[in-house]
Amino acid sequence: MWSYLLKRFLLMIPTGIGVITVFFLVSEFVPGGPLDQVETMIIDQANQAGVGDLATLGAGGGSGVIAIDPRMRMQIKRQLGLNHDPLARYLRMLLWYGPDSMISSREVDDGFARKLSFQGRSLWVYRQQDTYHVYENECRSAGTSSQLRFDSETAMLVSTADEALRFEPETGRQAGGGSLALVRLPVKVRSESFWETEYLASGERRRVRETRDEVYLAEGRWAALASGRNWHGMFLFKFPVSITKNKASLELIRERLPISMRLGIASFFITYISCILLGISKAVRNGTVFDSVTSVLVLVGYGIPGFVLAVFLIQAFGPSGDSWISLIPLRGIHSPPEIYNTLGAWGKFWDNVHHMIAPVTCLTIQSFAGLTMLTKNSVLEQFHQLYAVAARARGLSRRKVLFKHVLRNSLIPLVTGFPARFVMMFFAGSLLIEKIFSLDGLGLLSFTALVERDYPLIISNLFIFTFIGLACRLLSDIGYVIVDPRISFESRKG
Amino acid sequence: MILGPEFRDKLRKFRKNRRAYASLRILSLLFLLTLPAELVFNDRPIVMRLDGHWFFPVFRDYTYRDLGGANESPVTSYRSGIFTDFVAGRDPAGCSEALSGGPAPAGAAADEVSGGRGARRFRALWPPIPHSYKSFYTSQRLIRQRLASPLPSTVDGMAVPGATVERHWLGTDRYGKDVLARLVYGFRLSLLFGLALAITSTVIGCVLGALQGFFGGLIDLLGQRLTEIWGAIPHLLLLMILSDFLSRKGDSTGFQHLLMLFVIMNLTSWMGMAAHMRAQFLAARNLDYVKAARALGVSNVRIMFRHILPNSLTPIVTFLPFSISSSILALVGLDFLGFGLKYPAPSLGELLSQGQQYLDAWWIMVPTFLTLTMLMILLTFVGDGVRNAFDPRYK
Repeated sequence: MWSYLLKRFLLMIPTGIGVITVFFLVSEFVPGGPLDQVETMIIDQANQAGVGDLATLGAGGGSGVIAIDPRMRMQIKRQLGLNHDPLARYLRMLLWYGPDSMISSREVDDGFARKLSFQGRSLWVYRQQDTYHVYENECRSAGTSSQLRFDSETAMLVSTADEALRFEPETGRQAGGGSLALVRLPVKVRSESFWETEYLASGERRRVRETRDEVYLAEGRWAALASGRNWHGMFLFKFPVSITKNKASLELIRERLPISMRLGIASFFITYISCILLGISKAVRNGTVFDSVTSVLVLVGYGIPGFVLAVFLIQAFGPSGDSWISLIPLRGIHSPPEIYNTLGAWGKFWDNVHHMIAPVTCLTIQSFAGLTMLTKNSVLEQFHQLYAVAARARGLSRRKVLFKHVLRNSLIPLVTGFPARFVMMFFAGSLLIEKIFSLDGLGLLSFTALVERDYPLIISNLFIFTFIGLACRLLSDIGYVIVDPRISFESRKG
Repeated sequence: MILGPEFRDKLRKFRKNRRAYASLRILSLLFLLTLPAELVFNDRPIVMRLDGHWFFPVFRDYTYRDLGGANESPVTSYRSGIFTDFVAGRDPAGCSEALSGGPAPAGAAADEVSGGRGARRFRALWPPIPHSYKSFYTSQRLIRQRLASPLPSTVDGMAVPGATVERHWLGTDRYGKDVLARLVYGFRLSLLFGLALAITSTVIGCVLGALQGFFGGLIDLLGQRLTEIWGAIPHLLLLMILSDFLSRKGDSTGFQHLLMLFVIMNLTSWMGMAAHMRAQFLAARNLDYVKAARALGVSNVRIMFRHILPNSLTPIVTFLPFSISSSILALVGLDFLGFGLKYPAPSLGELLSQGQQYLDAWWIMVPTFLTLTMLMILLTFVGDGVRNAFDPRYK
C-alpha cells in the first residue's frame, strides 16, 4: 500500500507540472495576454476618472494619445514577470533559481542618484550614462555612522550628519582627497527591450519598441542560494504578489480561510448526520409512504441549484420591504461590527448562526440525495447479507441486527469519501453562494480577483485549489485503504 | 440504429415510471411550446400587407425602401411613431428615422414630403404579445417603464397602473424589457444550449474515452494524466477566466459570443463521460465478441463503433439528462456572474442576477426561480427514471 501511495504522490509532480503548463498556456496565448488585461483595466479606470494620474496624456495631447506612465508599466510588468522571455517566464512559474537580485524597476536619470530600499537594506544607485554605481546608504567615519543624501547641484553624495563629508558618486571616494570611501556593491546591468503600447483616441493600439536598463545586484552565488529569496516558482509555493491588494496570495488565502472553513464544517456535519439518519430510517421503512415521500423530497432538493435557491431565499426571507417575512440577514458572516461588538457571548453565537443558516442550506441542499441514497442502499444490501440473515434467524430483533451488526458494515462506503470531504470542507468556497451572501471567503476572493483582473492572484488561487483537489484525491484513496484493508491498489490496475 | 430488445425493454421500464415519464412529457411540451417564441412574443408583425405586397417582418429585416419608401435605413421598430407615420403617408420616405440615428440626408425630408402621397393600405397580423426579449417600447400608459410591476400600486398617493396594461404580463426588467418574453426565450435558449452541449460533450467524451480504453497502454496512461490535470483545475473558475479573456475584444456579435461560450464549455464538460466510456471499453476489449471480431480482421474503428459502442449505451443514456442539467446550470451560473452571454441575449442567469440586485422586483425573481427550479427538477426526475431503468445497479 505504501508503495502505491508513494507512487501516487510522485505522480502528483507531473500533474502539477501539467497544471502549471496549462495555466501558462492559457495566460500566454489567450488574445490580449495578462499585460493587455491590466492595461485595459488601467485605461478603463483612467477614462472613468477623466484621465487621472494613472495614465497620462501623451505628447500629442491634442490627438488624444493615452499612454501609461512607463514607470508604472515597468512595475506592472515586473510584478507579472513579463520582463523575461517566455521560456524564462514559464520556468519562473514552475521552479527557478535566479542568482541575481534585481534592485529596482525604477529608472534612474542620467547623472542622478536615487535612494532605494532593497530587501530591508537602503541603497543609493547612481547612474552615469550606461554605468550604474550602487552604494550602501551608510557613511562611516571615525566610529560614527550616518546616512547619505544626494546633492543634485554638485552631484555629490553628502553625509546627513556632516556636510563636509562629500563623496564622488562615480568612485565612491571622499571628495577633496580624503581617505574615506563608501561601501560599493557589485552590480550587473542588463538591457532589456520591450514593446510599449500606445493607445490612440481611435481605439487603436500602436506598439513602439523601447530599450531600458535593468540593474541587478550581483551577490555571491552561495549567499543567494542559501538565503532562499531568489528561488521562484509555484512548486515551492512561492506565489506572485497580488496587484490590487499588494499582498502575497498565500496570505490573502489565509485571511479568507476561516470563513470558508466555518461554512464547510457546518455543511459537512449537517450533511453527514442528516443523510445517515435519513438513509437508515428510509432503509428500515423501505417501501412505505415515508420512504417514497422522502425520496421525492431528496430528489427535488437535488434538482434545486444552490445559488438559485440562495437568491430566492434572500428575496423571500431577507430584510427587504417586499419579502414575506424578514427571517435572514442580507449579507456578511455576522452583523456589522458596531452592532456585533455590543453583543454578549450568546448573542454573538446566535448572530453567527443566524447569518449562516441560509448559506449552509444552499450549500447542502444538493448533496443530500447522493449520500442518503448511498446510506439506504448500503444498509439494505447488508441486511440481505448472510450474516445479517443468520442473526435474524437466531432470533435477534431487527433493531439489534441493525445497530449491532449491519450499521458498522454499511457505513463503509460512506466513510471512504470522508477524508477527502473533510479536507474539502476547509476550502468549501462556493464562489456563487459566497458572492450572493457577500461572505468574504475563498470563492469571493477568486471572483474579485477575476473582476479586478488581478492576474497573479488568479493564477495563484487556481494553483492552490488545484493542489488541494489533488491532495483530496490522494486522501480519498488512503481513506479506502484505512477503512477497508481488503482493497489492494496493486492489483487494481487498469 | 442497432437497438437490441434489451434496450427496448429498458425503454418500456422507463415509460412505466410515471413520475419520470410525465416529467419528460412536460419538458418536451414546454420545449415545443417555446420553440416558436418569435411568433408569440415579438414586437414585429408576423405577416403584413402593405399596398398589395406581402411582408414577413418576423423572418426578415426590411428597409423603408423595401416597403416602398425612399429611405435606405432599416425599419427598427414597427410600433414606433415613425413607422405609423410612414404607413399613414405623413412621412412617405420614412425619413424621420434620421432622428433616431438613421443615415438620411438632412435636406431629404422636405423634398420627399412635398412629393408625398396618401395613406397606404396596411394590414398586419400581430403576435399575441407585442414584446420580444430585446424590444423596448416606450408607452404613455406606463408611468414607470423600467422595473414596472405587473400589479397596480400606489406611489405617493398616486395610482400607478400595472404593467399588464401594456401586456407585460410579468412586468419589465431594469432595461424596460418584458420579463415574460425574456423568460420564454431564455428557457428555450437554455434548453437548446444544454441539449447541444450535452450531445457534443457526450460525443467528445465517447471518442476520447473509447480511444483510451480500447488501445490502453501508453495512450491510456497519457490520457489519464491529461484527464487528471484537466480535471484538477476548478472548472467554474477556468470557464470564467477563459470567457473573460476571450470576450475582451468587444467586436463579436451575440451569436459569435454564444458560440465561443459553447466551445469553451465543451473543453470541460466531457470528462465524466470519458471516464465511463474508458471503463466500458477497457472491460469490453477482452470480451469474446471483440476478440472474435478482431480475429475476423475487422478494423479497429469498426470494432469500436459498430461492436463495442452499441453495447456501451447505458452510460451514455444515463448520463444525458444530468449532463443537460449541468450544462444549463453552468451557463446560468456564468450568466449570473456576468461572465456569460452579452446583455440583449435572453438569459435566465441574467434575470436571476437582476432579481438579486432589485430585491423589490419580485416579478423578476419569483418567475425566474420557479422556471429554473422547475426545469432542473424535471430534468432530475427524468434522469432518475432513466438511471433506474437502465442501470442494473439501481433497483
